[in-house]
Amino acid sequence: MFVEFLTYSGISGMEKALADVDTIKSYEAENLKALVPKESVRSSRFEANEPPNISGLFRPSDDAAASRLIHGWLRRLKPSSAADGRLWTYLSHHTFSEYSAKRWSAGVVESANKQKVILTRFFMRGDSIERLFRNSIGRLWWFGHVCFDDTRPDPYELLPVLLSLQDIQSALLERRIGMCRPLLLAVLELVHELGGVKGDVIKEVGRSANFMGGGIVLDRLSKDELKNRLRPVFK
Amino acid sequence: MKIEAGKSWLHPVKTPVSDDLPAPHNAFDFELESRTISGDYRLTGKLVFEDPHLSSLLQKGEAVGLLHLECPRTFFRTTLPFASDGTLDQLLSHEKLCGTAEVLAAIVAIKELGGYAHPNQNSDYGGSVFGVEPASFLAVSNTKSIEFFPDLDLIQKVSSLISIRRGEDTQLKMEVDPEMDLITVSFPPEEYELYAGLRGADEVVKILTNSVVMPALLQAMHHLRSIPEQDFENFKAEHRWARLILSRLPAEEFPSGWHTGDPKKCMDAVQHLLRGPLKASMAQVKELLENVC
Repeated sequence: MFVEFLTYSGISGMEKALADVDTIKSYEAENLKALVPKESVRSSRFEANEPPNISGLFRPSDDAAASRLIHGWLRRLKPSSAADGRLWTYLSHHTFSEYSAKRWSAGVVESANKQKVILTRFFMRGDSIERLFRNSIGRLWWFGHVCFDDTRPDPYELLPVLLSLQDIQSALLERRIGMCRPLLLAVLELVHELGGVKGDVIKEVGRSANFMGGGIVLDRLSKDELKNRLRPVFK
Repeated sequence: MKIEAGKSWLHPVKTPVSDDLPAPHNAFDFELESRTISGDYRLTGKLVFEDPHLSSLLQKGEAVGLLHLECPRTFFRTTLPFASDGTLDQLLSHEKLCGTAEVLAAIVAIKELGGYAHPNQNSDYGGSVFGVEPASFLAVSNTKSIEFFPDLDLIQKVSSLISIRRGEDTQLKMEVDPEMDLITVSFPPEEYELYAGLRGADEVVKILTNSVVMPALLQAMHHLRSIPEQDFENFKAEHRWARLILSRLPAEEFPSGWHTGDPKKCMDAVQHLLRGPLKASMAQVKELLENVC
């Protein structure tokens, strides 16, 4: 099958429809597929197997398992294409509508700013780093992408480490420092070796890495050199 | 990456954002240009500075000029080396970056530099010398923005221009019919069965696509050349594939009437539309061979 996506105009229409209270109710009632304008669906250039079933993996503790399945399914997708919200908007509303609804509709119900939650979790807008890790399905692919390391027996070994603590995601995936791949892997490996750490430690690691990056070009150091420099911060 | 104004380092750094080296000695800049070639980006540029001390370190291989690039949209960051003469000529894949990127140039130490001092360092430093560790900044420019947008839609299916079908039992060769709304490729039955069996296999999808799509597009392009100028607009109106293809080619490289000129442009257009098909196929063959080994 060719993975499908939504046109810009289709997405724009769906965003405008959020002004209607009935549309918001559809998100709260987990009724997403009906919101997709059929005439705006297109076939992408990406051929893939049948999509994995992640419907039962909607609890936060299931994120690593769901991420492994989504990234594995679209492993050949490249970052430039995976940064395109047209793909994820369709997958969130249609292909994986059941998962998206179970995972995020409660957040819409509870929020005072329902539109914002919907735009954040079911769409992918703008150019920021954060948006990659917020969309219901896109975030699962991006978590897998940043952790994927095919030099390991299990290329996804560091995925549960990344998702074990919100502070790790905040420190590495919502700041540019995390774009330095050797640094990201160095931090995850250190956390892994220690069997987990507290949020305060990660915050301090983030500060130290930022400080180091002001004086040296971190990208010039290997993962092991970075681990050696950061190890004392973990103690 | 942005270097904050007034930032201080442990050793003197040549940069317009501080007076470690007093003006005009702190001037350090770069020129950079990006061109899109078959969907990838070719970056050319040069470091702009005058500093015999740092130039000498570059020539001796004790320091290296780097372009530091960050693309938040694709969560991508890299460094690209300038040659020792201060010039840059590098290719970056469209698969890695798309959108606005931040770039700055730097000169960094390759190895530890003991007793480092800059002849023009601020008098506040006096006659001090410094230990500089590898990867440390020796010079750094201001940050600039540069946009990277491929000429193609990275999501839209190119092969939607092409319809592939099973030919009649008597058909012996692959045939291309550009007189349909979509370019229609028909295979002899046996070849079609092979194709149908392979098309879902990720491992060979690029090789397979390029083996079929590239010759089909090439024939279609040459068909465009055969359309008399007075009929050309009609042909476009009646053939979706022609409208789609022509709309996806950048006007600066393929100005109006390009198809009537040098036939070589047909091959250029095909390679542009398929974004480096040869490289993609070979990369996949290499991957297959590596997996076999």
